[in-house]
Amino acid sequence: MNTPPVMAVATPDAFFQQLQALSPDPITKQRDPEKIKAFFKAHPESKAFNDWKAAYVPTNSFAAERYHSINAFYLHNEQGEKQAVRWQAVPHDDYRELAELDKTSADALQKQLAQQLKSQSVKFDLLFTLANNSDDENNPTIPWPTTRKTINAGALVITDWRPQDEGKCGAQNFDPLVLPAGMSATADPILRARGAAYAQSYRRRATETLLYGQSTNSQGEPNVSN
Amino acid sequence: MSVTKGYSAVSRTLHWTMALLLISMLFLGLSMVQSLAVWQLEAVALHKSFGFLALVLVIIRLINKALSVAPELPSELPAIQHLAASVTHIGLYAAMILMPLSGWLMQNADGRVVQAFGLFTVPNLVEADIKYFALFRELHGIIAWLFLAMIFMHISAALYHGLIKQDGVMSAMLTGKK
Repeated sequence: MNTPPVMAVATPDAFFQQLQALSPDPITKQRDPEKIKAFFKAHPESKAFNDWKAAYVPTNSFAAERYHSINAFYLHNEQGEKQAVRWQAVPHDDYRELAELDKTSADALQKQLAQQLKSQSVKFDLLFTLANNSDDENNPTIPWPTTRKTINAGALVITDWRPQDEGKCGAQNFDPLVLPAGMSATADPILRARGAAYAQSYRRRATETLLYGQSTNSQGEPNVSN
Repeated sequence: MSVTKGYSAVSRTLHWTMALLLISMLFLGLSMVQSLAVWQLEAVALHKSFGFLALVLVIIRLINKALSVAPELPSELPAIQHLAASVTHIGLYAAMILMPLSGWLMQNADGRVVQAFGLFTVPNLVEADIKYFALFRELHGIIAWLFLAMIFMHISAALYHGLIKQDGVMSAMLTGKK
């Protein structure tokens, strides 16, 4: 899940071009605004994403953000019918008593979340939005109208945390195509590509872990996220 | 010419069925791990199902091999070619066993189960562990390339016998006659 509700592009090819356009110049280490402008001009499907980005104001806490599935999935019932859904995790309470944010630290948000969890758990409502026939579940660039039926599917409760380098998630492949019974992937090309891309990064992480005891980032430094 | 007959109908059926299956699986496997296409998810599922079938078939084939007499190579063949044939055959059988086995193990080490044709789930052989995953995943890839190299040698040798030497070695597997 991620903060934007939609993707800027609808295919892996276009996503690759987007990453190329956003990549800093290898020598100057600066992004090229002209390249970025040209990319978005050539990809009008990115309008909803850019509108969201222009209006987006980050909160000062992981606990106060909204997180979106972005891609759509199918829910299946026992009658063999399927329903396309997207979901978002919406902060449960308004966390007025948020722990102080230490803005001098590069890990400010993580430290604040750890502080927060000492006194209370962090809760989100898991809201499922149901597509209707006019929505294209295979296109992650188009938001569905806010009038669509929404179901509160349960609460997501975070009760504890671990430093990232001790986390168990580093040894796992987060693959959104591994789904519980009753759910399946749509034909959304971005969603389909995620499984293969994550398999590749998991394979590299696994090989580094086997050979060197830890995985490394693109600069060859130990990965904190493992 | 040797008096030994060619391969039995059972041996030939197993050989050609597996030849078709394994060559398809190798090329599907090598293309699907380099693809971001929408069919990738279904391709992986098919690869697992047919991989399980390949393991069942190689077990049947080993039993069949133990129970039958394989035709001998022509005695006039140089010793080095006898040796090359034995080494390639042992290597091909090793690859036929190790390919599906390493695939099965890498899935389990990744915390995933292997389902065959949506009919049943095969038992887990190992606990999820990233280091085991790395080992079996890399083995699966390395053995695949060695397997392709041996298949290439095997086909080259068969064509050499069938087209150039015309000594009955290829027809033993094609028609069962020498």
